Amino acid sequence: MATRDEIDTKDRADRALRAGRAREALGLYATLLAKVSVFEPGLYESWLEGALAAYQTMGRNREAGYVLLGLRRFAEAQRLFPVEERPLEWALCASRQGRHGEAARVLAEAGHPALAAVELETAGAHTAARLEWERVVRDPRLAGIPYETALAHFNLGEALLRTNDRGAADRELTITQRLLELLADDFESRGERERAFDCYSILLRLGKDTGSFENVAEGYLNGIRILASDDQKFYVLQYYDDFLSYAVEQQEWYAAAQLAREAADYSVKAGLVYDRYYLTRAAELWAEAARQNEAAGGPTDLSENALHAGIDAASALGDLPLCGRLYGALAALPLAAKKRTRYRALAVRYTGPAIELPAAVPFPEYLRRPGAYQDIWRQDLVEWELDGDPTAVLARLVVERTDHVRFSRLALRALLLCSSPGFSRDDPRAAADLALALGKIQVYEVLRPLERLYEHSSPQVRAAVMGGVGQVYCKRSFSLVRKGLADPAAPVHIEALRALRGLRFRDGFDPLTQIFRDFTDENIRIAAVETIGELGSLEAGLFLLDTLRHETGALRGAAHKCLVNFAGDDITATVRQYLDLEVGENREALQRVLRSLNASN
Amino acid sequence: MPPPADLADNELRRQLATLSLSHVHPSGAMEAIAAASWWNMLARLGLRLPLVVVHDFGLLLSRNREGSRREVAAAAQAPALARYRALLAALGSSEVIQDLGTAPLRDETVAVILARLLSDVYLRWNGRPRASTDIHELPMSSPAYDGDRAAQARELDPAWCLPFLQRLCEHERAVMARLDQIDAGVLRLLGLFSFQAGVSDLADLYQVVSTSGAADIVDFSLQLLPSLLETKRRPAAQRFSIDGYASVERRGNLDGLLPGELAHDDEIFTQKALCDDLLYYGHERQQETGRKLHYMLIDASASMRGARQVFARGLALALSKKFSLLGGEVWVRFFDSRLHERLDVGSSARRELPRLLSFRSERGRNYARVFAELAVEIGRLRREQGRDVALTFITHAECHIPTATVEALARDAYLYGIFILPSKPIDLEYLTKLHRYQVVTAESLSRAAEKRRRALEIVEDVAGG
Repeated sequence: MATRDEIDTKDRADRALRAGRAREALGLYATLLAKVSVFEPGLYESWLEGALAAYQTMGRNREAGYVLLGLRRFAEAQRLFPVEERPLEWALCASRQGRHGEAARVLAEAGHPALAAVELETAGAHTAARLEWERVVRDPRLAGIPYETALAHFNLGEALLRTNDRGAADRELTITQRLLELLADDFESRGERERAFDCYSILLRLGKDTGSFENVAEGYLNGIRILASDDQKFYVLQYYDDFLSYAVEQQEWYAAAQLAREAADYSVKAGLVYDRYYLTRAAELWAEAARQNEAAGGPTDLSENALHAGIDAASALGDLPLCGRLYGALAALPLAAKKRTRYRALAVRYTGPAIELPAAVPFPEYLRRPGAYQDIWRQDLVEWELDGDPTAVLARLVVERTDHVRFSRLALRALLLCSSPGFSRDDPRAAADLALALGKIQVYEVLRPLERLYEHSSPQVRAAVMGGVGQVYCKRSFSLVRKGLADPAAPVHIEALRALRGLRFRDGFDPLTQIFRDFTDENIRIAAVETIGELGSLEAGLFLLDTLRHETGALRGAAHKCLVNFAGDDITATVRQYLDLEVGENREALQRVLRSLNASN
Repeated sequence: MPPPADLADNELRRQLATLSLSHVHPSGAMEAIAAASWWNMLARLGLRLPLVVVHDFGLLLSRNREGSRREVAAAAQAPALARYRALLAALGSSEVIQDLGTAPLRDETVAVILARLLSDVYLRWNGRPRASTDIHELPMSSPAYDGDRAAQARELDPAWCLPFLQRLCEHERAVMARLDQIDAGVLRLLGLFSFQAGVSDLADLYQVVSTSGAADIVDFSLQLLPSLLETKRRPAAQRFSIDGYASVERRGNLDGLLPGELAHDDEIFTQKALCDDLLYYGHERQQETGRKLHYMLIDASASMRGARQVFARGLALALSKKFSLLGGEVWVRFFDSRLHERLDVGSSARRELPRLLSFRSERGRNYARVFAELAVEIGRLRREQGRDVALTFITHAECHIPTATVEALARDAYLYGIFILPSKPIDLEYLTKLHRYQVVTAESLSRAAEKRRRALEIVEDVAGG
């Protein structure tokens, strides 16, 4: 329901518009459009309609076109974008109307072969898409940027697979594979694990495309390793679960059984409740591995070892009747008499009626993250092709981020800002406003435009970039913040510190500790400690305890303050442990922390 | 940074206080020290159990070691501990403990068996110390070991460990089931190793015993051993004037010159001599193996997960043995995106075995880098040390190495590739640049006898190179 104030403002705006005072009306509509979290059906759209009318009255067709994008009236919007002047917007509208071929033609002519290829693939024109991917691969702008080069080869490889040119596809995918191996290694060595993760995601996809279990394993297991080190518990289990299913599908019994066991061990370590399910799966899969080996006439010792591994899983589960059954299976193998006698005795010892065990809970569907597998080979190449052009990035966000209408609305506001007639990126004030507007959208896609804006010569703009990036909760944001912290201009440095304090999200733990380690400026280190103090995770708590025990002065004081006010995961057991070990000042400080934690629980 | 000594002393006193709850006797300072030693090893494996459990279980496992028979107390100290005493009694009278008692066990073995027995219960115990940045080793020398246990318990209440004892008792049957799994197989594996008691050795050993694949690797390798042990050093030819004639050679001394060569006129004789074209008799000799280096690389990347890993390592073990018997030096290294440290499988096989069986990659792949580094190393070995290198790498079907690197390697070494269980037809551009290669397919491994035959064929083929 609209508020009284909103109704009044809208009335005033409508009256102004009818009276021919479009500029005044636009100002009022803009006030309303700032309320991006209004979800009353049709209300926000009515404000957009008003703004549209105002723009049209003033003859500002381009902005009117953007508002029409927000209203999802693509045919009308398209008419307001001359194809020669605004090919990307024109193509966006054509695409949304299902005219992918036309969109592709315009995009290709405008120097956007990657976007054109995507359109052609959507249209099912795979041969034409392949030609566009070939253009991308040959693009001289790829020189010296191996990651994007790898993506281009990968997309071309996939296109060649779709056109059944297997030999050429293999060549492209081999190049991709080599580049990705190098890149993932480089990224990991530089501590950019999330970028290495992207490389492994593509290897995984490459493996599935080509039926190569080796590459799928490489992608999944390295992905799991990185996710686990980032404490992304549910992603880890989703990856384990999916890889397990894939291994079973491919009849890679050994790998599947090992994975189930690893998933169980991980679940226990992470304090989750799925270990019993995965232990059950491991026992079943080891038994299956033994069965398959016997059926294929494989070596008996392989079956014996597989069944032993199954018993290992069953006893970890506490399922002794299952142990008995598996010992029974062992006794049935053609082994030495002494062994068989022992296995028979053990089978009798453990066989009995099914016992009541705690439920084996599988990893639930609702914990599966829809974003676990993203087509980054497309997204990142599109990012490269748009090269941080705010208008292009924002127009796409307006059209595509319909999953979160708030993002789409914020993107439209930023788009209208940078499309207004007086806007110039050379004007520091205008560019600074844009940086702040971009930051408010809070999505990953705005980072590249922000990175480009940071190249601005004006400290005012760079400071605003810090203000913007401090709202984007992505690990990549920290690389801009690090630049800001080292910026020679004081306002930029101050805003970077503020941004650092603003980036309080659990995934930020590693970059924050890295900043703590890399910078010597005490203010920066204190800001990092205080931000970590807000994360509330166990690892954050441990970090603070270490800082309290090993640092001195203001840093120690900051850690102490954070611990006293620590909210989130329970760290009292760890504090007690340290309390038993510490003496002197540290012991007293820990006692104060423990008292405070106990009081707040 | 090692923890300060006072922290370690505090932890020792806290742990020793729990021995007041012990139900295995007799126990004095020596037993406490032994328990502390096991405790330290378990702590390195991430298991920081109450010392009383390590002490009681450990003493029962090793009770024949010093010839003194340790017994479970006849009655529980307190009603709450009756179940714990009963668990120890059941443990002490089990067949496995009786069997273990017949042979002395090393400390590392005791620690690994304790880890196997107790890790399930420990890891599901809510009161376990959570991730900690410090590893507190208990000091092995302290007056506290001689202290009065009751007094220590009065000073530091050991009640913190009671929930773990209770949990252990609740899972008595599972613990006993774990004990039943410690059979000859595990002990046979343990018997294959020698220790230097380093952290990695112990972790590797625990990994070996906990990993199903390790037993397969050993079994697979052991299957091949009888055939490999038939290996004899092959005779070769030499130029010295001893022993019988064995061959005709391009180089030699004048006294070995084939008489027919003297029939040439002077000009042709001189020309042939200058072109090394004269023929000489060679004499029998043992092969010159001192400079021969068998360099073996095993792919440890995630791509090898499952059966590939078992076969690759089993084959590597067998090949190492074969190369050792043939003479020359054997180097084994794992690789992923790095070339990992060299394992001296030739002369210290027992020490290196746990690592060979349980090595786990914590990286992705980077074959271009690994093989480029290798090419530099092998080039240097050949140029600077005059080594004759035979390089065998065991990998999978997606091991894409730049062709130029393979060519460089093939110039300096005899290059042999073994590709295990390709999940799709193998298509590597450098295959023709290798001196030889083998592809091990799933079909060739499906039958036991075939698997062994195929493996032996590969071993013989590689060794023949």
